[in-house]
Amino acid sequence: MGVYELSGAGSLKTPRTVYSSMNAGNQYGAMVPIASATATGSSGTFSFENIPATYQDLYAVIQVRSDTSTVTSRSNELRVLLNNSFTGYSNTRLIGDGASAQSARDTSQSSIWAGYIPIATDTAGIFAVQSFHILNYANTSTYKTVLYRAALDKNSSSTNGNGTTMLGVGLWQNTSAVNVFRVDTFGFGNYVTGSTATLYGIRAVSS
Amino acid sequence: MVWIAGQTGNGSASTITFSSIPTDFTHLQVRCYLRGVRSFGAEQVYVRLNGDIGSNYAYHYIYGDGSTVASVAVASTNVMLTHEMPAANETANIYSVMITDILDWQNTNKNKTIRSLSGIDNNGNTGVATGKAWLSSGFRNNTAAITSLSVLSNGAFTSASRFDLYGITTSSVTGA
Repeated sequence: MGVYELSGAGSLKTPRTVYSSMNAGNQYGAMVPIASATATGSSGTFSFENIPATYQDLYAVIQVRSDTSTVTSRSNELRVLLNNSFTGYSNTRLIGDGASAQSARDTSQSSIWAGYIPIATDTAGIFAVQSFHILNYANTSTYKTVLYRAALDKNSSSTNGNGTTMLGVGLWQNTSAVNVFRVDTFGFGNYVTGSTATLYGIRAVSS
Repeated sequence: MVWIAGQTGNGSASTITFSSIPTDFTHLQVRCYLRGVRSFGAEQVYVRLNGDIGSNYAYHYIYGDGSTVASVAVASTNVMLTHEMPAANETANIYSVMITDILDWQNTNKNKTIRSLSGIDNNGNTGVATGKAWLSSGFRNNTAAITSLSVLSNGAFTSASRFDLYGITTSSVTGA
């Protein structure tokens, strides 16, 4: 079924835009999917590029697992990059690991440290879930702050710990509008098939 | 989720209020991007409901400041603390982020509870206010429907500070 946009006079608007459903064109909701991706096992990077500057905020949700069996520093961790820049980042985080509550900070980094990801040595079928808020992302006069939640539970202890829940806040000391959002495995391993990432725009208009 | 209204700071106002909130929505979410104009150590940000300035609120929070974790509870007070935003003497261009949810805001049988995720990172600039990641909750001991919601501080918000109010409906018809 095609849906056509009417002009104010009630006649067909020209040139006509054909939408696939009733909700496809009017964008009534504030949370608009921009793009999504599902891993095929051949890459450890989700990267959303050419993000339009038409929204107030960005919101990204990922569900991921890595295929690496390497157990070393960073091999079970994730990072975020904005605009493919490798400078000017820092973060502060609050973490509970099932035994204690901790807080840590990284300054003057090449990325935002974004939590843990299960790897091949972890129980099959377990994925990490993370969400990221980037408010005022298109602003060109202020630095960018990323508020993020990360969750990983393994139901048991393993060589990489038994899971964590985390709230983090990251800073990118750059006033550029964010047009690329990337989350990757620090170069260790590929996302397994079934890993997903979706980027939403949060609108601040009423029509 | 549907955008209801947005405001910006103006450099002189320390309270931003949303009123005449349409009743089409089941829940509310406030999304803020904040910085204060006065030089101060730790500029706190609060939420207040219905203009109530009585000691009818309580709040809890837990935060991590990069080295330690702290949790505080305050009862019988006149605001709900959510977090600390950067002040004028913080590194330029740094803003905090606050996302606050208010569920069932029109219900007249429930006292109102809010929850917030918020934070600021300043690349370890501990000379002013330490960067923190905050989880907080607030309570108003009153069952009245919410008629207005204010975000406030003890100093004014910068003109680049941003406040957006969203409504969340349980209807599947609107796509919201």
